[in-house]
Amino acid sequence: MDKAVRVLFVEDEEKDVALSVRELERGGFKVTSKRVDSAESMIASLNEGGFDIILSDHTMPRFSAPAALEILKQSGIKLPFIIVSGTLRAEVAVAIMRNGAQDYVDKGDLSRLAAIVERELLESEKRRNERELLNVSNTLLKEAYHLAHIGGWDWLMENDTVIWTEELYEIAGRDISLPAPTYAEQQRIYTPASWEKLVRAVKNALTSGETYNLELELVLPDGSIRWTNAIGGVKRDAGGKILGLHGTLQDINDRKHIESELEQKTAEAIASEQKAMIYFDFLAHDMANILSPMMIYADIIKLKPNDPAEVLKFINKTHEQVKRAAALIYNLRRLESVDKLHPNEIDVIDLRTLFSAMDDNIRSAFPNKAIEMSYDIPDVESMAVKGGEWMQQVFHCIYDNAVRHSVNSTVKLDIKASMQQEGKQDYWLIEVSDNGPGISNKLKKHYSASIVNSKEGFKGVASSIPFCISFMRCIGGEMLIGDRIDGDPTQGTKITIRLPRGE
Amino acid sequence: MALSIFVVEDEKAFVHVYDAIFRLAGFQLADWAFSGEEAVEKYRSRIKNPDLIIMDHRLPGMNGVETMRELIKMDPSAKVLFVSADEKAKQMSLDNGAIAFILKPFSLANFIDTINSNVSSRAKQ
Repeated sequence: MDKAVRVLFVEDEEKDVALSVRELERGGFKVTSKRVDSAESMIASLNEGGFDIILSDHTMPRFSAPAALEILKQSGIKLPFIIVSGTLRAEVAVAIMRNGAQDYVDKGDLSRLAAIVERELLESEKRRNERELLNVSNTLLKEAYHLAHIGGWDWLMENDTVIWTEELYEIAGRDISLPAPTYAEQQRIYTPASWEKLVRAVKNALTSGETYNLELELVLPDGSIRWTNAIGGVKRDAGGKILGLHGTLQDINDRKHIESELEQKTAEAIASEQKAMIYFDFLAHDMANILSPMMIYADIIKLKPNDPAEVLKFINKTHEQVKRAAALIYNLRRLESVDKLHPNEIDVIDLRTLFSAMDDNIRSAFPNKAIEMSYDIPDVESMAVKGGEWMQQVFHCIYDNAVRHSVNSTVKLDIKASMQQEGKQDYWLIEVSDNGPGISNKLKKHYSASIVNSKEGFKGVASSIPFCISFMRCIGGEMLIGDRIDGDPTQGTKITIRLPRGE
Repeated sequence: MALSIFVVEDEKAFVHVYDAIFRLAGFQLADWAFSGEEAVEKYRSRIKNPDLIIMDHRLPGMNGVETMRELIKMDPSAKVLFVSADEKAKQMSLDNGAIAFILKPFSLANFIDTINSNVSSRAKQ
């Protein structure tokens, strides 16, 4: 069965074409052909297309094989190019073949022509298949790199020349029409810490030949930061001399964010578990301290059932402990609710309203105590602070503590408020000083350490301090326990509260 | 002669508890300290060889074990009975020289028995 072949003859002699066609047909080919004998007609025919092979004479009046070969190369079309000539010296033939022609056949002996064409057609098909395969795999690779957000780069040390792939431009957020930044220019596209890390790794790679694998922070043109994974290795010439580096840069921003989110969640979970353990420990400890007296009083009542006065006395004492247990549970619930409180759920309250309400509150709580309150408050229109109704509990805790522990016939409470600015945030600074016995440094430490405390000595007040501290933190404020006179814990207590100004 | 007992305990509710127990059992309160520091100070200046020291563990400042070490340093024959809600303090207190450990909450009988079986009046000896 005839093998179809489409031949482009570069030949000025029609009869030579006929001879070659006859030879090919003898070799089993069914030939269709076209003859050209000038650069213009060759270019036109190549543009038309539809050829499997080119058979070219060497020397023609208006054209030549080397010129035809050059046109073929320029066109980018891949076709086997065979010289069919009668006047060629061996060294000229070799030179043309070095330049890209596949073979040479003497016009005087065309017997090899069919075999050579057959071989070249097979080779050509093989090369075409390989090219197609390469194209497919290149496309796949490009897509894979795009999906994986991996960019490639190449750097030649000499002249500091850098090439980036399209994906790398995208990762770095740079205009693809601009040249890739040179190694020296890359200092600008990394954070200082990452650049330092990269420079060290590059130096090491160039001296030791080792590959590096780093996590680097890219600075995008808009100033945002993108986490990347950089891998680089050396490029060598045939003699093993290091020419530069090449490698990849992968965008790992999403992964980094997930990782840091996970880390934060884990830390929160651990903190929350630790907190629960501390709550549990304090609860167990305080419950034991409440139950001890109850057990002893019950035992005593059992021993003296016939002494009504004693029985009543110990029942009353037991009742006090029951009240403490109830207070403990109440405080725990309050602490829990503060933990769950979201800053946006907290209202604003005016400090003057708060001071006035708390003044009444403390006087009615201790009707038999002489309480003197003095205020040093600036004359401003609004004294709104964050905290809402919760602030009443905070102030109750502070006032109650001062009055209950006072050793003087008159309890003095000085309240001073002033505005403070820190950055863009305004704060109200409130200082409450009393004339009580003060709080020792040891006890201050003890207060801040205790999460839950229902010790009778503090009458449920100490238990409120952790609540107050937690609450202040929750609304972006602060509560500090100090001395009325700094460094002298015997001269009274000064509680300082810093509250963010309310809108 | 009644046993004299020095109590180191920051829980004020226990003032009443020990007062009631001591009355029933015929013990005598030598003194009371609400913190480890106060205990050391009182032991150094005022307390004269009590027959027993009752020691809580969780105290503001120095804890019970630290306080006990200081007291034993001053008085190697001091007898310290730990009474604490903190179970973890048990081994630590016994290792550091406590004669016994009572876990809160405790019963009247358990408390008195522990004292009677471990302590006798120094005056009797």
